[in-house]
Amino acid sequence: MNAIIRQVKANLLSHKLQAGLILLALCAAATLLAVSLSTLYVAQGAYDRLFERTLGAHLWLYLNPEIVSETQFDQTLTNLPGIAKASPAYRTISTTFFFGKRSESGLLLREWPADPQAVAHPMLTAGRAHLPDEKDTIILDRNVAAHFNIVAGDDIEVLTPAGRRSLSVVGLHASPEICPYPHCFPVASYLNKGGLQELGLLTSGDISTGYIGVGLRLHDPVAVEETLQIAEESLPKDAISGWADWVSTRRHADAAIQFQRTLLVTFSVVAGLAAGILIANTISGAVRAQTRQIGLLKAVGFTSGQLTWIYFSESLLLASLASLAGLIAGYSIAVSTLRSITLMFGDTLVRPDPWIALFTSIAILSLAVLFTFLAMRRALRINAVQAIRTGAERPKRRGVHLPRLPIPLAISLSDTFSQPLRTSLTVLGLVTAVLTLIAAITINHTLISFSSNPGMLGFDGDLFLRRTKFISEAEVHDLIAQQSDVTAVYAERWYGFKFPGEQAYLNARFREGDLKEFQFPLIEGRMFTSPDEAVVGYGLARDRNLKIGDTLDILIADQPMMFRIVGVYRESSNLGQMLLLPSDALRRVLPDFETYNFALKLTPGADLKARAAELSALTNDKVSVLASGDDVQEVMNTLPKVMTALTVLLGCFAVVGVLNSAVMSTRERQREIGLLKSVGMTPNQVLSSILAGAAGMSVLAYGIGLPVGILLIRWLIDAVASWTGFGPIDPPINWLGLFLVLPAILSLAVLGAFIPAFRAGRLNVTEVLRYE
Amino acid sequence: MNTAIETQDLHKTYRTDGVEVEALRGIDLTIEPGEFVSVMGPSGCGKSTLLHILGGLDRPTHGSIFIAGERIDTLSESKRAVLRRKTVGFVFQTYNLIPNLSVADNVDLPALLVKRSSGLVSEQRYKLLKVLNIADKADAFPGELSGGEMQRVAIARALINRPTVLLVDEPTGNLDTRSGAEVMELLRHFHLSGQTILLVTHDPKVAGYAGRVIFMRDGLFMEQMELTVPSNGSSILSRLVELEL
Repeated sequence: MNAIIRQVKANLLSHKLQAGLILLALCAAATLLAVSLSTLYVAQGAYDRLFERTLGAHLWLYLNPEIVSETQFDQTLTNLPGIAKASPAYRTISTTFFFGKRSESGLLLREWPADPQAVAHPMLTAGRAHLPDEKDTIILDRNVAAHFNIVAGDDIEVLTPAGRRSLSVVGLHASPEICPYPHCFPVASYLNKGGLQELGLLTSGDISTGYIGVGLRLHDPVAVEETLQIAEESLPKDAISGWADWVSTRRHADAAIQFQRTLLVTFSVVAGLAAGILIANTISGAVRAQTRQIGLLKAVGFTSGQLTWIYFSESLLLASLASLAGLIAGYSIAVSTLRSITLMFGDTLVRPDPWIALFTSIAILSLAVLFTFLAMRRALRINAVQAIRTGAERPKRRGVHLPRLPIPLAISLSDTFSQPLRTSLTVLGLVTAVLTLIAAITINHTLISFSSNPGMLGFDGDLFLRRTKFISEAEVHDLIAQQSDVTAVYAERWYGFKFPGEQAYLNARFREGDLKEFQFPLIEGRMFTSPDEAVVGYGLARDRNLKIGDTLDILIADQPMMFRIVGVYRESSNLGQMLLLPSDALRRVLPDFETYNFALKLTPGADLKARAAELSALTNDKVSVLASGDDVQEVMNTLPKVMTALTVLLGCFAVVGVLNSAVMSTRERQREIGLLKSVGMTPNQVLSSILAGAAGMSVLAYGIGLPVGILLIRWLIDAVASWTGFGPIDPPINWLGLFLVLPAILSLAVLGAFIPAFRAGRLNVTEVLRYE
Repeated sequence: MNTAIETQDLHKTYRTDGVEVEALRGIDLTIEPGEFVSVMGPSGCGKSTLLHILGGLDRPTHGSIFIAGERIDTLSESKRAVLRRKTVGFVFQTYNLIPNLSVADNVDLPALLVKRSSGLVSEQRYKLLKVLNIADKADAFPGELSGGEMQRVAIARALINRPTVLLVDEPTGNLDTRSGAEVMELLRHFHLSGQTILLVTHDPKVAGYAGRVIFMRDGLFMEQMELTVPSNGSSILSRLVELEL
């Protein structure tokens, strides 16, 4: 044992650079693993965590305040069987919010609950709660805040019957009530107690008189329909204007982030793989670099078991230190760089999770031991004399002559292919970087293609108007008619429909106007031309096996209606579970229905943002106006940023991988490099030879990663688009971007190999030949 | 005509852990073209250091070196590399072949570095391997060869560029008697065809193949002995005893 300890100590002290490099590589692997697991943690179960922390409601009832009073339903509901606990009555009003020059109508306002631990309480994620009797303060939904770049301490304005009112944002909150993700419809923001009355909003919001929301915790969380039925029987007729259950909300919310989640899970798997490759390459390289020493130790009487223990001890010692350092680094990176991911998943910040720490440490130690064992098995099989004499394993294959290329290139090729395992592991590490680069480029390009052609997302139009209750539909039509640059307009109203015999409501877009002038994302068939025709969202068509030519029987406002399906379209909302119907169809059952949304086309060359601001000002903010692309851009912005951050991260680890491989390789080949120098190779030729090897491996990685990456990411995007009901897409390929991956990966490889190559070029030949 | 090797007041001092060791302490050496010179001395007397410095593998601390009339101690690292590939050939005690290159590639390497045509190089290599009696081993790897065969490959590699000087370090140190004798016969063969050779050894029999033997101790030349006919080493051995080497 004493001999083993002495040898371990001697190894670590005599090969400080190598020990340092193993430490660095294992630390990098631990960091990558910690980041990857943290990402996986955030990507999975975010909704459930938020639901648990906020004591989320299993069933939300939305009650009509004109039929039922707050106290009336409160007493009724809490006494009903099956209901464990109810939230306070949340009177909820919609109004228009102003964030500097931007505005959004239809955002919800409530009052902060008196009991901070009540059922379905909002959870503070930044800032503070309202102080008692504090006026003109608001706790904003954090997704709304992120969308409009608002932080605690900023001021915003809301529209009241008396005009705009300034409120100070004292905090941000999250809630699982609707969908906690940024691109979902936002949940309510909270005023202080008495705030709705104070702003004069209790009687009327910008679109409706609002509703009373109450969240219920059930004894049996899945007994939603039974409870709903009991509640309907116990409350006055039509008191319940809507409801939502936690299972479908969660399913809906989770499906909404399916794409992001699939990508991040893929990233985590790739990152985990990259970490494993890095460890395998480092440990096996370190053992291989000591082949001669292993031979010498065997020669002086060390047994195979003792030798294995020496290298096990070294690996375990370094892996323990590395996993500790890697965990600290990993969490720092995760917390500081993955903020947008946590926000994307509606989660709070990544915290050091003991299970992730434990798993990372065990994984690093196990992988270090495993690869030490494998490398030692190989090293111990080498004949001691062979090991001492050549410091290398006897080549298994008969070689070929040096290719007749410039000699540094020929030598580097010969070296690269003489160590297939080392080369394969390094190339695999580079392939992971190529894959993430290709994924980032393709996703980005796909998103840009869709953003630059909003019609593909169903957002065709130059300006989008949304009126409030404070202005009539006729006034909006007059306003539009007065604008000389408007060339086409359509109006849209969402309204619920049901399939006969089903409880759940789905939404339909009822449209009328100059529809032919707008582009709609039809996958097949055509747009409706008569009130009896319907166009079906892809998700709905797929799930209910609806085809063009089929008859569609549905209930609108409880009236049966029949349509003939004439087309299938891409629907980016509600998992594609929607219909596109002519407004005349709705008019048959609701002759006086009102429309709130309008899309306009202007003459080419108009300054859309300026026109949006002008129109909004003309109506004294009673109409909110959005210029084309603004909303799409916001939705599309998060993912490329996240992908870029992750790509940079994996790129850095690819550099560490190449650095590690190059150092191990030059260490292993020190004697060979000395020999090459002794027969006349110049330092620059040694440098070029090693860099050429790294470049060759990066070209190989590109050759493998390019086709695999293109097929994989295109399949992934297409599959996720189909799963989420958007419809199959053929992601465009950015050939220039993909071509630029080659110089990028070449640069990474050359960057990683440069320092060891430079050092190798300056090796002292006599020293190497004397001591090796 | 220039001398093959000339050194003036050559010093080499190593500093290891703060301790200075004078490996060479003022060596003046002249070797004429076509000469075969052996340097003899005990371990640590500076023989290998001298050889490395003459071959441009290491730099002297003081003094000057001329190979074929060109001063080399002031050359940059890159220029010394060019000198090694064109002017000097090295044969090491431990052969120092590159394990993942075939015999043919090991031999060709210095020639390819000077960008000679591959056809000429192959022809030259074939001739050398034939003379060295290992032409059938051209595709073998170093690990598949015996010690004697590896040393012959090392000689072929050292001679492929027809160097001005062949520097040989204990060529038989790792070989059995018969293989050692064969290697020395081959070196004599090349010497007889005009090759200048400087050999360091502590074996009197090996030194006896040279025309001149220089005795060395503690970094200094003690004296030299001219040998008119190949010696079996007994006269050298006697002189070594007299000099207490």
